[in-house]
Amino acid sequence: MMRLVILGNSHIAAPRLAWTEMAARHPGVEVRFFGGLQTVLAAMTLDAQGQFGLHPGAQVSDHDRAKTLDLFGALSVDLSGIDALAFCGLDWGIDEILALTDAFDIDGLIESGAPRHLSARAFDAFARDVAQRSLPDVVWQGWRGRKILMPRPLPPTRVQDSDSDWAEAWRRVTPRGMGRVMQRYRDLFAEGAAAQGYGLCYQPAATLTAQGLTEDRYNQLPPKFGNLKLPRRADDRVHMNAGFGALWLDSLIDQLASAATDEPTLTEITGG
Amino acid sequence: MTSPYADLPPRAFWRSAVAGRGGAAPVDLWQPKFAISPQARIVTAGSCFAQHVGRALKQAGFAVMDTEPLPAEIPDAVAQRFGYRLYSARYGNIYTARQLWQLIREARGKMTPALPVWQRDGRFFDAQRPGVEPDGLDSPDLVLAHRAEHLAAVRQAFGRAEVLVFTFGLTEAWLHRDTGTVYPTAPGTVAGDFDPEVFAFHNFDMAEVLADFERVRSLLRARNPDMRFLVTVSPVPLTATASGQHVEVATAYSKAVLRAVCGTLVARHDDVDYFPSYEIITSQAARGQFYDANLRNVTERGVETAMRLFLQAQGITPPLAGAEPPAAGARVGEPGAEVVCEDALLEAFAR
Repeated sequence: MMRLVILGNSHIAAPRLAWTEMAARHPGVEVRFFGGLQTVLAAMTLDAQGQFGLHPGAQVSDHDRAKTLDLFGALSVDLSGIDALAFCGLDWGIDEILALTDAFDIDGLIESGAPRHLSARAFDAFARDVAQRSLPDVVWQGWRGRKILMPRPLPPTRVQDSDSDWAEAWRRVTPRGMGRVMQRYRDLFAEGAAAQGYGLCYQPAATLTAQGLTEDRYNQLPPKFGNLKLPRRADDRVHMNAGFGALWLDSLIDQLASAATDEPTLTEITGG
Repeated sequence: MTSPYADLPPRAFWRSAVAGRGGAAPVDLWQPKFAISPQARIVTAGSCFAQHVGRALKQAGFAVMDTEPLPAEIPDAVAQRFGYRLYSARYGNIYTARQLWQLIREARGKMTPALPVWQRDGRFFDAQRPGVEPDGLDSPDLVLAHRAEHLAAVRQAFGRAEVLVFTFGLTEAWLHRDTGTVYPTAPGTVAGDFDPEVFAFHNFDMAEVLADFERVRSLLRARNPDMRFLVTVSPVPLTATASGQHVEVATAYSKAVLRAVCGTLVARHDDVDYFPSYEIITSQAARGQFYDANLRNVTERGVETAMRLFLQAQGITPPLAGAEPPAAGARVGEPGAEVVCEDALLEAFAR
């Protein structure tokens, strides 16, 4: 039995919805989900017994406590004795990279007529810094078990129809041909993550378009998440659905199983 | 009998103004010729000490221009490794007035430097600012393309500036024999190869430095007749000298020339003022406390002492008002105070 805990923000919805349908396909895998919105996650801590969550004294509202209980059935999750820990929906800095490169072309990566050029070495240095700052909180650096990052999915292609401010840089991704820049950042982020002991499970390639964005069909959202009714937001160009979550979870489980085969004795996880 | 010294204020006498004052530099050490308003567009340039000046001005809220900006999220330490946020454009250190004059002329299309691309280990460097890409670029063409963009930023910076803050650093430089092109570093230091048939050492004298800065002033005032100039002399001694003299003697010569040029400029022109950061750092009253253990690098405390006095004299409340200056041992070079100084690379050739 492989015991996996997936911690995450709102992006955890996609794999969690998927798991109810696909658990039967993975009889040797136990998956628990836990997390909350970013502000609630930030208030969660890991105690000496390996319990991660809202401990006494956590600075959150009663509403957030109640919501956490409602969503996950507990205020904390037991991480002791698990085989792997995944961080789902991590803000991995890709928006910052787009903002950084908005005014620049980058030697050897993109030539789109931007007003200025950035050298490839400078881009790498800046991108490494972004990656470093985007890795999970320092508390997890001491975590001795297997830990996997599941970076936030890239927006769907219809993000380019959005008039939201946050989507501004994404609107130019396809016209500028930013695919190579994003790929370079993926590589650099992976380097930085590996240096701190993290594996990576990016969204599966099958979910991406040739331009490097997520296919729109994975952004068609359900009206309900578990027992919570979601407000229908046609303009949600961020979150993905269960179909996406299933592919992502399959990819994660395959990755963990493959690693388990390579390393017959999985590191015993004793908690942080 | 009357003496012309009889009615002079205490600041005119060494005993009261220096020997008796303790370590702290008095506010009246500098009486500005003109106020610099926080809205005035400032362009900064000069030797590596000028980076401190620019940073202090920015922190105090002055409108220091940056015509090659990066997104604010990139930390200074990372940006500055690639020459960003050091000066108003990404030209790196400008150690001599000749180099400043040359840069402005090049930006205006009036001259083209000889041998603009230097090589090291298969990588290519801008000979006029070899430090801004520490690993060089892939090809000479890329170097020239980057330089063309940079020159546009230089034109913008100097074209729109209302105040130039320039720190004179060195008199010693390396020139291209045939054309007189001046370089910020000796070929073979950061990149390039030294060929004595191609490059020549030159130690600028006072007349040359003065003439070079006069040319700079004329160029800039021709575009903006209201342009003003605040000049300083770097208190950082030479890392090495190629003059044949002892480095301490060579340093004294160099600083004396630069200080004399500043004095002459101030005496000649109402639009030129001199800020005595050199005197503050090197003062006997400071008893060497503003220098690091290598007796060359200026400590963070020294920089802050100088810049605090600058701001007070300009009627600006220093941003760290109420806070004590850093401890005497705090060094320039700690995080946030990194200074990029190519001439320090000459240490590598020390025996």
